[in-house]
Amino acid sequence: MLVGFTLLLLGLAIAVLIQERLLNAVILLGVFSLISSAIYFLVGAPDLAVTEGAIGVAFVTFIYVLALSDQGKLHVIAEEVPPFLFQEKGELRGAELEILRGFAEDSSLDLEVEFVSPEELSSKVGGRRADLVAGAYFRGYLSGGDLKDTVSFNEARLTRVTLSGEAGGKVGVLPEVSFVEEQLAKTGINRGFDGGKSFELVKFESLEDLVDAYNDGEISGFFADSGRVSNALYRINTPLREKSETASVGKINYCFAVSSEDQELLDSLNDYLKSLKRRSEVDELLDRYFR
Amino acid sequence: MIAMKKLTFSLKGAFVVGLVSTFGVLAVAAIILGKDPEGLRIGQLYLKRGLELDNVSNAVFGVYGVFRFYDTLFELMIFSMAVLGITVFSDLEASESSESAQLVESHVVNASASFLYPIVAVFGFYLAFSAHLGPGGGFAAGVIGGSGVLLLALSKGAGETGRRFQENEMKRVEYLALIFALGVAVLGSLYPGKAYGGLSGLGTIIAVNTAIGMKVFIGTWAILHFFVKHRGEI
Amino acid sequence: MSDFTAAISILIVVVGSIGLILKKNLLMKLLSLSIVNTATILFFVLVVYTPGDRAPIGAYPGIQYADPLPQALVLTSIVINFGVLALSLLFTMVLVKRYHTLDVKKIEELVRKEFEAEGRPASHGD
Repeated sequence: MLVGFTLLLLGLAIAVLIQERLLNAVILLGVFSLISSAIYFLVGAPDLAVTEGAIGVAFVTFIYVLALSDQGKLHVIAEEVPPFLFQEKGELRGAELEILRGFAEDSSLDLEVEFVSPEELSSKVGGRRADLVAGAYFRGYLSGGDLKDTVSFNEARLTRVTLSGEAGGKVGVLPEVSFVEEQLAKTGINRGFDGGKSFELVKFESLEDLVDAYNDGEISGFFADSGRVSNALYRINTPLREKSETASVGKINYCFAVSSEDQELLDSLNDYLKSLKRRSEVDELLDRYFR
Repeated sequence: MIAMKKLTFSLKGAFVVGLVSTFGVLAVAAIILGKDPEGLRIGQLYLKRGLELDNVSNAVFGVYGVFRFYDTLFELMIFSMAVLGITVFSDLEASESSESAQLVESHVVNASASFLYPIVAVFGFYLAFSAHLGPGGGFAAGVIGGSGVLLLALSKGAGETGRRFQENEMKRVEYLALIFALGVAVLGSLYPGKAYGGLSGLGTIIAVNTAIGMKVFIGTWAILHFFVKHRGEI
Repeated sequence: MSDFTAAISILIVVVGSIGLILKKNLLMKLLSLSIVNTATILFFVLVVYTPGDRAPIGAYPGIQYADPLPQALVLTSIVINFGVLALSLLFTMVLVKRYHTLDVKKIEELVRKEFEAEGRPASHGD
């Protein structure tokens, strides 16, 4: 029996060293200490058995697990945007979720998604808080020193929705697409819509406010990216929906954002997205969710 | 099946493995070929003298508590230095997680921690009191007590638990235990045989073990409090 | 038979030291150090074992008792090992906060860059 335990100990020692995830290795170390404690008891050293059990099994495992609580997780903060990433009856679903899940499995991490409002997105990344920004994020949204964008996985359109027949007046704009002002200033007023009438941009805080304003008739149209437009069109009052027209005014690229300190994560996520695009799995994924 | 990672063979890796394995093989050969059964039984002397002490039944306590008490004293000092290091850093670094937050959001743990803790504490005291009669000793007692307080801290938050156990007072009292153990050692060397002998000796034994247990308990709780305060920061 | 178990505990020390040298993650190095410590004290206890030893408690004549000396010496070693482990984890935390990586080679490079830039390692806080 003693020989059996000692051989088991040897196997455990080798197993601790070939683990990829640190939490697994720590638990195996706890088992290692436990078998050592059993060996001490069998050899006639009960003092040692009790002390090794109290220290090696309980205390060391506590300390490691407390210190490592964040290590194996991929912390994603996102804005809830169907059908990219949303929550239905307590369960997460979405196109981005499948991409993120595949990536997390690839790098043997646990995925944890937290939904926040758009203002908090830039303040929570970096340091120990969150690793990744998702949720229909596109290039240039939160430009700034803290975040770096990954390779894009989907190209889409910057869309404008207008109540047909009306033009001019107030046009809503979401905070995400507030850069549209500069873009319009660069390209000039898009032809074919206003017939030359000027319009005024009104900023809204959230998609719900914008859709309510559209339904109440306060604004005659709005700009959004096509992912959010499909969501917004779903919520717009049906008679209004039939009278609305959509047209694209530019291109946007959907991607993710990573804190600029985390070069490793950025590289591995870029590699993963590129390999997905090469195997054209992204297309069938998007087919399932968008069409 | 366990998926084997690709092991890349580098020259440095092979060299290190070869070198360490050579030492291992040499050590194994030295044991098997050169083991001297008589020489390895040197502890028989301590066993005989230890079992002849009147109050002490546990020969291992006889070794580390009576005949070789200096080892225990210095080990307590080393432990104090480790805890001192952690206490100093605990004030320097700012923590990023809230100290009064519940660590575990489980109803079972929160409801049962308060009445499970006394059982753990009694077990710790039992190990400390009966160190001379059976397995146990002050060290295991202290660690078990400290881990029991961690159980309380899981449900109530570490800051609150620290205040209830009067952490700030404990940090000053910690060194009294060391001074008491030193006093017993000095007494034992001045009056040989009288420190642990007879009925009063039994009290000294229990007091020394409890002092060691208290010291290790305070140190363990200090370490655990620090790690709870700075959790997840690796 | 006790020779065989002692030999296997030396093998565990060898495996642990190989892991200590060759692993690049700082925390895996600490875990390997824990393995080396535990296996060393296991060796001390196993090498004096003769089958039929009982725990050295109680003074009954004619019973073969285990050797109490290595047990007592190794008891202090267990406690010191966990003190050292707590301090090492503390320093690992400080390192990770500063350099944001657990990889030993990258930490060495960053320290070397700081050395070249300032002529001494960057000071903590101030």
